[in-house]
Amino acid sequence: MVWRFLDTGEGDAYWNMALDEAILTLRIEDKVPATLRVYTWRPSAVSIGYFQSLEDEVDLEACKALGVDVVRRITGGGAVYHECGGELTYSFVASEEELKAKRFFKDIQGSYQVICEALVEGLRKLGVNAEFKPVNDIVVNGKKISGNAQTRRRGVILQHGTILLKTDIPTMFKVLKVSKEKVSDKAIKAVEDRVTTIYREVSSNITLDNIKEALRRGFAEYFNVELRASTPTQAEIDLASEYRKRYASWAWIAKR
Amino acid sequence: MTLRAEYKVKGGKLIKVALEVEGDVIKSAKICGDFFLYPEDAIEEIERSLKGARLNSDFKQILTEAVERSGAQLLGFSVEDLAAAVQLAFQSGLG
Repeated sequence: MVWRFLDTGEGDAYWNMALDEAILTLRIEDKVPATLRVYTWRPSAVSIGYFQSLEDEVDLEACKALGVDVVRRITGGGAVYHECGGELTYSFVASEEELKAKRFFKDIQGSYQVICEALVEGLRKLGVNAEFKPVNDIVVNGKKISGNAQTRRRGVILQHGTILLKTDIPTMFKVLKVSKEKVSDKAIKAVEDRVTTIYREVSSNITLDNIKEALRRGFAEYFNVELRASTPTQAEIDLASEYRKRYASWAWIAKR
Repeated sequence: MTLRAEYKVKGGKLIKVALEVEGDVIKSAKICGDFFLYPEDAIEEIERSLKGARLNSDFKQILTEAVERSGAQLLGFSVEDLAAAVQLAFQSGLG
């Protein structure tokens, strides 16, 4: 069996979310195979979960001042600061059926587990001693290194998530309304105690390409498939261009 | 009057409830947070189900029925958590 590996490089927040959804739609229509995509964000952006309140979670003034975009995901979960150069995002699209044929699971939590275990397999290739922590995290010695979120439509799963390379906690505190506390050294220390990064766990010599390749191999081995490097189809690009308008619209961003 | 509450679910998710209330009747409800619910748009049916509920209503029953009607599956929180969040919002208005 051959699945697809897409490295789509840098994109802005709206394009990044639009392409994930386009892959999901076209997988539903059976026009593309199961796909692992990796990408990064330029400019840096905040993504909020489908159910989150924009005004509760995001400091829009700070985002504007810092040139940080804001986008609402179609997936639930929490707000994420996607720092340009500070993280790698992946998305994985597959039908429940084809996924179960490779690694059985019995419920939604189980599907998070198998997809996250494929990521864990990849991270271990880099020497990161990662493990899945329900509901939707990957941790190293109890510290979060990756957050993940999933939606499902007509039997097809889209899971995307971020893997931290390094953190810029002061900026994160400015753009996210994470806490009512001041941005104190103590508050920064508290986040540093709960979160870790690839650079901290291994080395800052690890490149994005190293991580992308480790994820590709991790997924291939865990699901016992070939993941063939490819590029998005014209249909995906066309559909993503359509979807991008919605993601960039205020009506969608401020929906809740 | 808007009544608000934040409810921390065991395991870490946060439910934020905002109720528009007249007297002790809910006119509209908004449920936000970092939880997961499938399908996502079922949240609107769940929010609508609270319209007309009163302080002494059985929120758990109302929410359970709405979840069943919409075929929703919850991850990271339960109907009990949701009911507790609504209760908490109501209590916030009791001073």
